Amino acid sequence: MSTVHPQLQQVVQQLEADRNVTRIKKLLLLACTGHWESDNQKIDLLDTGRLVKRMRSLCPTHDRLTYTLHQAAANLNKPSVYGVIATELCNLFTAFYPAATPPKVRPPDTFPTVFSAAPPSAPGGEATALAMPEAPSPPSGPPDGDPPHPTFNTPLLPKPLSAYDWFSVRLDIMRAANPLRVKILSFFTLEPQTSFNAYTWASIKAEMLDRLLYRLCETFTTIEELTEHINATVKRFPEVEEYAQTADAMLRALDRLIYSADPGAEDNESFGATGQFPGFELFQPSDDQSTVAMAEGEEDGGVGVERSLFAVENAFTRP
Amino acid sequence: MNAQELLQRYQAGKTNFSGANLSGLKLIRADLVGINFTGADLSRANLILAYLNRSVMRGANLAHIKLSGANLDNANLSASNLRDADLHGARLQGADLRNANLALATLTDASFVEADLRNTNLSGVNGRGACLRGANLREEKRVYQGANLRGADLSFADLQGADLTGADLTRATLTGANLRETMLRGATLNGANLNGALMTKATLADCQLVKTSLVKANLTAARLERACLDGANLNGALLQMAMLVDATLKETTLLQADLTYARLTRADLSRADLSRADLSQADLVEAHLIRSILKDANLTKVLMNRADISSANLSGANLFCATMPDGQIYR
Repeated sequence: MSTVHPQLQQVVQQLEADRNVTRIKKLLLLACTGHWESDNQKIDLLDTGRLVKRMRSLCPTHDRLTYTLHQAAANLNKPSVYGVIATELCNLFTAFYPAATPPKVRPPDTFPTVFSAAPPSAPGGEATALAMPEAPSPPSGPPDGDPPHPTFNTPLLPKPLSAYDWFSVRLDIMRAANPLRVKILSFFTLEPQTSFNAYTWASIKAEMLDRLLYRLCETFTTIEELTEHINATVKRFPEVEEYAQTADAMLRALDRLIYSADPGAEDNESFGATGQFPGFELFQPSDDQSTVAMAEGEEDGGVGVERSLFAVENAFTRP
Repeated sequence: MNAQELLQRYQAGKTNFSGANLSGLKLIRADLVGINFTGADLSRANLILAYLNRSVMRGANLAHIKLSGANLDNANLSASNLRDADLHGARLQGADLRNANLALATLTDASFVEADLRNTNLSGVNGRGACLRGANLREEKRVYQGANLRGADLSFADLQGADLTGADLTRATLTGANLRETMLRGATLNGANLNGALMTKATLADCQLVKTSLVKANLTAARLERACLDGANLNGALLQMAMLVDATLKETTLLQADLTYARLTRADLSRADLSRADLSQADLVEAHLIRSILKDANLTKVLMNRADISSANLSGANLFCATMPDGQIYR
């Protein structure tokens, strides 16, 4: 980082106050240097601020940061534990990355392939893939499993995504659909090559619904493109009907409130989860009890994650 | 009774499972619409993505239950024990949760639209991104205490139009939350974090906001009459047209806050730091500004009739056309 970010100290303090600080520093060190240090005493001596600065300088974009951290986490023997930490770090580091507005069309070589790596193995068959009868193959996406990306000839939205009222979008969708199904559908539309395992379940749980919706609109710049990819994802689920209903509710809301929204309409106050609310740079996400508890549960015999995971897996793979 | 037995009985038309011991049962995606689990023990049961619309779980033991993605619209969960329950992404629209215990539950991205949450214990919940539009959490004298949300994490939650009268939100996190037009009259928010919260037209009259962090919060046209904001951090906050009549803001920091047209009649701003704040056309009649700092503040056309500014630091302040304590217009 060429200049010291005013929020750096705040982020560092928050990381150091986290009960997972040792794991956080281990993951940051691995992501920055490729070196895995298992000696906790050595880890304790590392300067968190320097690690944060190094991470920021290595990752010029938030997408790159997401990719780097998740890639590092996925290669560890506790991928779900470190996956959750990676997600939390990505959320926290959002403060260092100015919002990309208007939505940028990214060249394929810089698009993150966070989940394109082989799914991490986990105890108890956690890496078992979902029974996906028909894997989607995005027509505009690059080969070899990279996530889809916006095409160059699609029109951009008339105003920055952060200027829309995402609280209304979320409410509209929640009124008509199941929030968890919306999250699952959004996640697998964004990460089509991912199988269902502890890591993805933890990622779905850690990433807020509105953030996923925001990412969808950021990735697919037209409603047609989004519809195509969501419908392809729907076909991957055994419960096509339920996910088709979810997709319909999502597409209606996103079309009405984002893609076809009157650009001249009065802007609402910008919205939180997108990182655009006033004072976002001061945001200190609190310790996510559920995800931390889940990770700890897994470490202590895999109770939390595996139960949740198997439950959901059973739900999806049930004939 | 095992899960299969229960499902068979339900499919055969039996819906009353009151008082049954169903602890730890796996009923994933089960269709149990309208089932009666009154007083049943479903602790640690797994009901992920289950259909429980209009079910009755009054007084049930639901501790550690997994209800992620479950549909509980219009369900009756009153007086149930949902401690440590997982309701991630669940639907509870119009559900009755009066007197329920949800302490430490996971409510991330759950929908509680128009749910009845009076006298619920929501202390320590993880409710990030939860939607509580129009939910009822209000205190009712002699009937319902205010909801207990002490230490709850409601970052980015949507509480627009919710009624939180008398609720206890001590040390709660509401960063980036939507509190537009939310009723918080008489609520306790001491030590809470409301940085970046959207609180336009929210009612915070008689609220306790001691040492609350409201950095860059949007409190435009909010009602804060008689509220206690002592030691609060309102740096960069938007308080245009806010009603702060008789409020106490002792030792409050309001650096670069926008207080244009705000009404601060009789407000106590002793030792408050208002450096570079914009107070143009604000009403500071009879306000106490004892030892307050107004360095480089914009006091254009401010009304300060009978205000105590004798020990205030006004260096660099713009007093153009301000009405001074003696009624004279500053030129």
